[in-house]
Amino acid sequence: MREDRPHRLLIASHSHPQLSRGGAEIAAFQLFRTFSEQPGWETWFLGCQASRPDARPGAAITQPFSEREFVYGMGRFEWFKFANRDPNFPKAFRALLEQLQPDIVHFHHFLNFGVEAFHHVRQVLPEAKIVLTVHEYLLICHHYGQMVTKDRESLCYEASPTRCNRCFPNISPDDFFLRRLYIDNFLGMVDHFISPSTFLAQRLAALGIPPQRLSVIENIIAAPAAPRPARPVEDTGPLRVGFFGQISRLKGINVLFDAAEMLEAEAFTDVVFDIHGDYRGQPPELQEEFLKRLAGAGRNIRFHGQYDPQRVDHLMRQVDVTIVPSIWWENSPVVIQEAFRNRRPVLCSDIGGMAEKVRDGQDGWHFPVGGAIGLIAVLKRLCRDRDLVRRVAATIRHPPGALAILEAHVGVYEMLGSIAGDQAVP
Amino acid sequence: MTARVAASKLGSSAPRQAPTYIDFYGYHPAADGWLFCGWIPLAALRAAQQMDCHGTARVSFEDGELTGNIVLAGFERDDLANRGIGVVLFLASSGRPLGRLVTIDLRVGPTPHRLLAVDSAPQLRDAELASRLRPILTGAIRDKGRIELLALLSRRGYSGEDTLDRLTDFVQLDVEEAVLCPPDGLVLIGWHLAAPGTVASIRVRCGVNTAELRPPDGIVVERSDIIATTGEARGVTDPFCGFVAYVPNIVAGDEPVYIQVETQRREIGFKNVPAARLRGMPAMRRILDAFDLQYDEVVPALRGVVAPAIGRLNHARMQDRPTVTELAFGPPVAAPHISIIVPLYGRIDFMEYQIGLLAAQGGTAGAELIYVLDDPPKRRELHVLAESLHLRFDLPFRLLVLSDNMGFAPATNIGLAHAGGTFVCFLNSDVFPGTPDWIARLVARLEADQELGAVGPLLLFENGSVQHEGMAMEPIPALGGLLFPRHARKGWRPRAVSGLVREAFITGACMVMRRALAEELGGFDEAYAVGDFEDTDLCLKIARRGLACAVDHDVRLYHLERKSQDASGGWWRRNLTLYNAWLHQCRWFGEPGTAQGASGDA
Repeated sequence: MREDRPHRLLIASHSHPQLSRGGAEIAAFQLFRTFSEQPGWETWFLGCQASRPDARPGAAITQPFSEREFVYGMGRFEWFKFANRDPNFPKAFRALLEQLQPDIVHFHHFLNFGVEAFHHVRQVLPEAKIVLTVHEYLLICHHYGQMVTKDRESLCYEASPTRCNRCFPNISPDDFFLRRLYIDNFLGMVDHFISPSTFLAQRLAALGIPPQRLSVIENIIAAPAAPRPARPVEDTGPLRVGFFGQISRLKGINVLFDAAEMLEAEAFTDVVFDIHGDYRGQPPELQEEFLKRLAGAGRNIRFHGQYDPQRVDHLMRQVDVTIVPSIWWENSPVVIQEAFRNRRPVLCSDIGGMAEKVRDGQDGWHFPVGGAIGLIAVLKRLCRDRDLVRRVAATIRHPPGALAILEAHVGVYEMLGSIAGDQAVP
Repeated sequence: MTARVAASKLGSSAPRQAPTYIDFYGYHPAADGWLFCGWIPLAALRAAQQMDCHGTARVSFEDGELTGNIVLAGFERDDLANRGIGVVLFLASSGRPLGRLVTIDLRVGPTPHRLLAVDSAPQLRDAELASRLRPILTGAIRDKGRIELLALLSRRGYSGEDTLDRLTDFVQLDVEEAVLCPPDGLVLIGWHLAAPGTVASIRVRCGVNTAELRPPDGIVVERSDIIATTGEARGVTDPFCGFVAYVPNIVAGDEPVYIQVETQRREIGFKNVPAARLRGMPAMRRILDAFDLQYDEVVPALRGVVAPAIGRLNHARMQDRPTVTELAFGPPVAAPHISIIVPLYGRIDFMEYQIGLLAAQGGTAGAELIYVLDDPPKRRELHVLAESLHLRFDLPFRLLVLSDNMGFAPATNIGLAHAGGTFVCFLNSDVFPGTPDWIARLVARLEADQELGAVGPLLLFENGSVQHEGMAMEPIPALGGLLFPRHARKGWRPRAVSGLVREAFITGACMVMRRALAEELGGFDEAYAVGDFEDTDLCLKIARRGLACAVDHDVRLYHLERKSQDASGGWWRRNLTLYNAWLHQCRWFGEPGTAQGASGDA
């Protein structure tokens, strides 16, 4: 590695923010943007496109947006073992690697590329370092990576062929074993793993990834649109509790309904849940359930519908506290970072990535996962003591800025010896 | 040729033994062969009996000869005493007329033997032949030959009835579609079920023509539906029972076509073949929609079925030239420097963008604009649009409205025949001007370089990435290793390149050349059906003339690739492309699989 030329970094993501607005692709793209602005770095972005309205027959990888942004028009991705059966991908991806000659290929996700993408990098660029940022638990859990059992939606602590077979009786333990074997063999080619949360890092370590190959670095989230001034916390009137994001059972919407019903039964109207988000992506029976519960929810719930991501900072500043009542583990929810930067304390379930990011009593408050009674106890305390809300808002830690996150990445790349000339490869 | 000359020629290899004689003979359609009655030496019969009454023979007629296996049966003849024994011979063959019988050279056992036809030996028609032979064979020597020949003689001929049901063994066959490939070839699409080992032969017959049909020689098609409805109940489970077969030189005038199945028991059954009802494009589509080809299946299917069938159908289709109706909008361009020829198919409204952009960019000074409508149902829509365009932009253009859909090459060639420019620009309807003076620039390149045969622009997708900057031929393994044009750097941002870059192949989507050269080379080759490969074919013809093709990177146009064509997939479109690829490859690189064809370099 010569120090007199720029470091060459290819960031690969399973999508592209121009094509979908998931947190992982935004994080990958923000990292690409931040690195692109740094002197001494040559950076490229490779995203994927799932539906192909403007597919180019015969051209698997194209440059629809700019000189440094590539898009792979994917095909034939197999979700069980994350294999990419598209006959056009290997040649196109290898040709791209040949041309760009990156020192580091940093994947944000193996979805759509397939885990074999690591193999292609190894074959074409034996010297290049492969870094993988893991964004959820898909490597561990076949149930949409939720680590929540399929039948009862109870928390799952460990994946094994027999346990997974219990969730998927039609898939034999042998098949789960083969899945693990297949994935692990390609993960073995990854030089370093990055997890946005310690909780996920621990799960990956439990999967057998050596701790020295694991780092915890927070995601860069989309920059805020200039928000209007915040509404102050009032001493009287109802406490405004904001829910932001996708409306689903796993996101804990029913915990809010349970709590609202109990409060209504007590004729306690000093709390209002402001629900911002979309329920229309849910299966029809869940949509129906949501609408039914909403109709009978009483005075403590206000449903505002879908919101424009550009307006999230503004909307958050209209509530006193935010709530993340998920009944699954979460990893590093974007909504927590958004609440922090708007100085809104977060009420959250006491598990996984949420409990890790929100320090109880400093950034917000924990309540028992799925427990409406515990939630009500916290809410009543806050209604009585509005000053507590103001005090915690003052102690919220600032989410790390883009440059700090970039520095953390540079640290990993240096540690791998991919950007400093004299360091040994670990 | 006279019988005497023929006999003397054969005399050089004549057997030593004295010849014997044939008394009468004839063709028996139900038996599907010739029967001869005469006599041979007793030793010859004995030798044949050693071989289950089988042997071989060469039968010479005045107008030709037949060779093949024979079956024979001996019978006592009092008139011969010890000189020999009576014999009936059978040779399987078609019944085409061959003139008078001259000799039969028989080979049974070690010694060859010759039979001569007596001068008065009559050639009998089937009914008389059978009535004379039946008593002879009934009283013949009781051996295997007698049984076989009696079975042959008792066969019922084709009478227009389906008789497969009457066979002892389970044999089913159906031809769902027969497509005539002019003048006399036939594609049969159908299925065939039989217990393994029961069928001896399947023949397609029409008049005096006959051809053996071996379904594995054609294209084998999976027909699980037939197994479910018919096969399973009879214990036949192999779903690959469908076939698409090409039978050359079979159709004889208006004679009915039928299939004759012969079982191992020597029983015969018939199945009618439906009359050919499709012509032209629907006929091609019907054939090409009947199968899906991958890898090793591609080349044999193309060689055995697709190439001969589609080649003939498309050739016949191209013979029917459409009526061309010309409509002029605005005054004709006097002595045009260049003629721009645009075939229209599908999206007629693209013309509005093309003409609007040309007008907005300062018109087409010295150029004449010719639109060829290759989509007759869109005629009215085009008339309305053309009038409006003329009124809005005042840019003169001509419409050539074809009475039938012909395809890209013929439509463009009709435009070429109406062009008057020194230069011509072949332009797809989904190519839109970018660089304002694109025509003048491209023509200037040709004027500046006499060694340049054709020049095209850099073509971009709507997002500014490369659609075309030249092409190379590349073999595609899943498509039988056939060579297909690959667009270099497709979908990538344009390179930092300017000026003219020579390329082996450029696209016909936008191609400028001298009209004299285009006419000399015959425009785009119409043997390519519908539209594929005619541009690379033209580039190869240009190269053969010692001229070059090039892309001018300073000239940029937009190309919404294939958006103007019918996007509905289906097997037929893909298989038609395979046909065109095959034709292209056989013409320029040798048939795939041959030493010459193995090379992918262009």
